[in-house]
Amino acid sequence: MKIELEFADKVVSYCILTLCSYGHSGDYEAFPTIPLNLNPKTLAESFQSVCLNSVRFNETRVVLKFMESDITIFSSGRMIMEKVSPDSQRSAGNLISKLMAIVDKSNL
Amino acid sequence: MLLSLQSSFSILETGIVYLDSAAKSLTPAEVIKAMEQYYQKSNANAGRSIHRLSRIATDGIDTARSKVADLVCSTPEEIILVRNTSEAIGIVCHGMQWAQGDEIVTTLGEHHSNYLPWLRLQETCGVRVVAVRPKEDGTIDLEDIEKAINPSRTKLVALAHVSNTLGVVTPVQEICSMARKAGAMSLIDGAQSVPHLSVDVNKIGCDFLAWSGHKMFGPTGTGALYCRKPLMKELTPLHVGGGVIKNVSADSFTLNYSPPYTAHECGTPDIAGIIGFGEAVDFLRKLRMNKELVDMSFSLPERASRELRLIPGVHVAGPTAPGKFISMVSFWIDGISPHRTAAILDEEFDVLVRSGHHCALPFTRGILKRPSGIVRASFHYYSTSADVDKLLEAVRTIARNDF
Repeated sequence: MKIELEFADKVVSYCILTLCSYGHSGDYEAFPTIPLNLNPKTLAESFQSVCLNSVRFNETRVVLKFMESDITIFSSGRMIMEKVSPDSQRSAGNLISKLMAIVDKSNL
Repeated sequence: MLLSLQSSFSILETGIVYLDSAAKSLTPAEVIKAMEQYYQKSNANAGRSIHRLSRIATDGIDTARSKVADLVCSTPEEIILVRNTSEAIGIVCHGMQWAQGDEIVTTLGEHHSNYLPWLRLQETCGVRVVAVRPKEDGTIDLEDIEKAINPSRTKLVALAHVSNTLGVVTPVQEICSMARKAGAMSLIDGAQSVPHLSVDVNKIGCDFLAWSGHKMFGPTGTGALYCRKPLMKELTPLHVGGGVIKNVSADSFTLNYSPPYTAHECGTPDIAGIIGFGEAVDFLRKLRMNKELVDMSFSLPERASRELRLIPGVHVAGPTAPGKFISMVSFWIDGISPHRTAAILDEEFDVLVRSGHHCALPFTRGILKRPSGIVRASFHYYSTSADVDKLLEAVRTIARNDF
């Protein structure tokens, strides 16, 4: 499925794919149709500012736990979301929307 | 040789390290050209039309079938052209005549394509699936197979020649012999073996061999089922329709078994794909004349396995003894999920691998106890020692970073 995320000056279309997983763990990948150039440090600081725990980052990615899910965000905008509801790309889409709502996108 | 080989795969010029050949091998320019030529020069349906283009298309399929048959030392009359290994296994599963109480011996190490069909038969036809448990390194104890085969009940022994999770090579010749002695038939899933090993159906002694074209340089949507000739008529065709009949009346029809595969190949096939499949056989056989390349199917994964095991926090699944596994290495990193590992390899190192359960949940979850699966790096003849270097360096960096 596709969702749209609003950034400071543009709307970015994201594709969501279901990854190989089983049982109660739904794993998904989301990637922007046009690669972005996000700043992992800025992303990480946004997440830390709202007291999200377990935020780690380096120059290419941010890794965090968000609402029981394991999230990896690359500077290209690609995301890996693990331990989300199974069989529900919509849940994965909602998760991304909530996550990105935290971020001050004008600094990305 | 390797340089000229790599020039057949323009996709490698993009700088990627392609280590997902067990899912889909790259397609060489020679195969793409053969398919393109069909559409440009002989674009017609095969079989029935009498015009010149149809004759060329028919000849293209016949030639491809002969090449495919020759690859596994069989005859064209024994080859059913299919879309993939799953379809080939489906033809056997739904074509055999089953009775309540019949048993199918298989293993818990199979790809779902060689497991789900039998489970469904168990649900619908009252047959029993006897699944032998491989060891944690993926090897199978022949005694366990022998014990599982029951001369009065086992009707089919169905297992992979090379496992798709760990690349373990199973001694199928001995197993087919056990099946035959017990009066059972044998089906070998050759999806991961035909692309890398010289497979001879006569030496193996199997009744059926299923494999795909897309893992051996061919296009997707191609594959073959070797079916021992006398059994062709015993299998009920999976589909009926165009091209399979000798006669049709208002209320009945007679299937055409001349040549024997006719009854099993319904409708217009993927003609370009089949021609490409034949070309892929030529390409594969040409490469196999180079012993160094053939040996790399063993030596590259062996080196990768040996050196990955030395990296702190990295765990490699599968046997360690040389010769026991081929064409792939599977691993995981402490604290970093397989999907995250694979995404980092792709995103930050241009190394393309596969992650997850590899359509083998009873093995990855039940035996390896890996709820999130494993990372699989798989090789083919275009893979190089430099590819292994890049994989190792990338995994070292990821494991060191620890997230």
